[in-house]
Amino acid sequence: MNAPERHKAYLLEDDEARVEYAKDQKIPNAGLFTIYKEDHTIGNLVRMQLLRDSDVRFAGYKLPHPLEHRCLVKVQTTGAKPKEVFLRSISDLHSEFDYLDRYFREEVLRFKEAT
Amino acid sequence: MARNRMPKVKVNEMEEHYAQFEIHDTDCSVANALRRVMIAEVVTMAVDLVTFEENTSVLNDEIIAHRLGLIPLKYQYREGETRLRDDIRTTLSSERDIQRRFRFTRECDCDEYCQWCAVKLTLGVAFDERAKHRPEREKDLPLVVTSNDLISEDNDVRPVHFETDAEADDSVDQGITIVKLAKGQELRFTAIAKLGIGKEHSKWSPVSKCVFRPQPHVHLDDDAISKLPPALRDLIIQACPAGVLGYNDDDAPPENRKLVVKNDAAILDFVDDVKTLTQRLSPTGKSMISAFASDTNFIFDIESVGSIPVDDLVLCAIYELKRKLLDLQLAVNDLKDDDDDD
Repeated sequence: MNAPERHKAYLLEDDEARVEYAKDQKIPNAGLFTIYKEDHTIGNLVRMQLLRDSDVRFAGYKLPHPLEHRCLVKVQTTGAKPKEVFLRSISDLHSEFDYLDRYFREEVLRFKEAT
Repeated sequence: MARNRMPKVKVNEMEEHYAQFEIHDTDCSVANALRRVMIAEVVTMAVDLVTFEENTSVLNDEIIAHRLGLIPLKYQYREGETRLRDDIRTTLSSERDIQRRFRFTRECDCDEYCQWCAVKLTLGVAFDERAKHRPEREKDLPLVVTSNDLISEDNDVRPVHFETDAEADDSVDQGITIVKLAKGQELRFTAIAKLGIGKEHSKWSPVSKCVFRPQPHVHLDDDAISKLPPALRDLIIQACPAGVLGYNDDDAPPENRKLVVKNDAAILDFVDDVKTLTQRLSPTGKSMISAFASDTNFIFDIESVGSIPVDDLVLCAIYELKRKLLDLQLAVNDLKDDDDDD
């Protein structure tokens, strides 16, 4: 059978890096991040967070093909390094989920005590 | 530059298998990431490998193996008894997290499977054997083999038979039906349960329902509505399907009753109808309702299949997302700096 193996959608190959970065050759302050074995979950999350950053002029993402498990995120900034802006977005998201985690625990505890 | 948000949570309902909660002050992409991870990337355990010793039932081996895969298996941390993994790198997640107890088989250094990456379940049911213990009038009826006949060799993991005790009381069966046996038939096998995620096969998905919707903001012009005669107010209610709009107090005299939204989830679908209608009814031509979907507040409805209680499920999903983001952060940090001189 020639069905693609399911784990290829979420497990990195032995020699595969999680991320590759390519500087845009024509546009200044722009670059393309290729995130392997990730999909809309991370792609859309990162794109929306990038757009909140005032240093970002453009941010977009796409999944080029449903059978190729990679996600492309394109960023153009107003002057900052795309890599730094990208890292900033990720750590902002991380702290948001950290906050959500703590708040959810507290809220569940409060709800269980009330009932 | 306020880039990061401080989301708030409000729990409306929370039981072991069902929850409704709201997340405030966040973005649709965060809500959707959470939903996607809960469906497809939270780690659970399910039967993955079955060795049949005897199967003379009407269903063939593959069908039974498939049915076994779909039986939820619940991991329960037992204080003082459960032996957790000693090779775990982080203690950030709760000890109720199944990954603190089991490894993925692919990451385990055992040959095939071991107590750290798999759970063995056995079943042996023969109609004739069981018939001896059944009451006389039931002796010839088909014998229902259920998840209750599965015997787990690991005390931390057991099949889930029913969602609630009430459901167990209502049911005539002892658990989830696997197959029915007739006279002379027998079923014997060992099943190996392993860790997995919903992306590999949906039998590992811990949820049967996981949806979110934007919170609606509804504003009703109470003054204008109260000036309408009761018959016209009834007309507004009838503009939507039953139960979407209604009165706050059905027993009060008609002139004291206030029009309220009864079903927050559905009102957004019918707000245009109500708008047009109230514009026609109003002497000034002004509509008496406005409703829009929030960009920042979301309502989640989650139903678990039983493998993980919903509160742990949400925490596992958040943890998984944090792991993904950290992984990405480290990978971007490791990128070479050679072509980054602008």
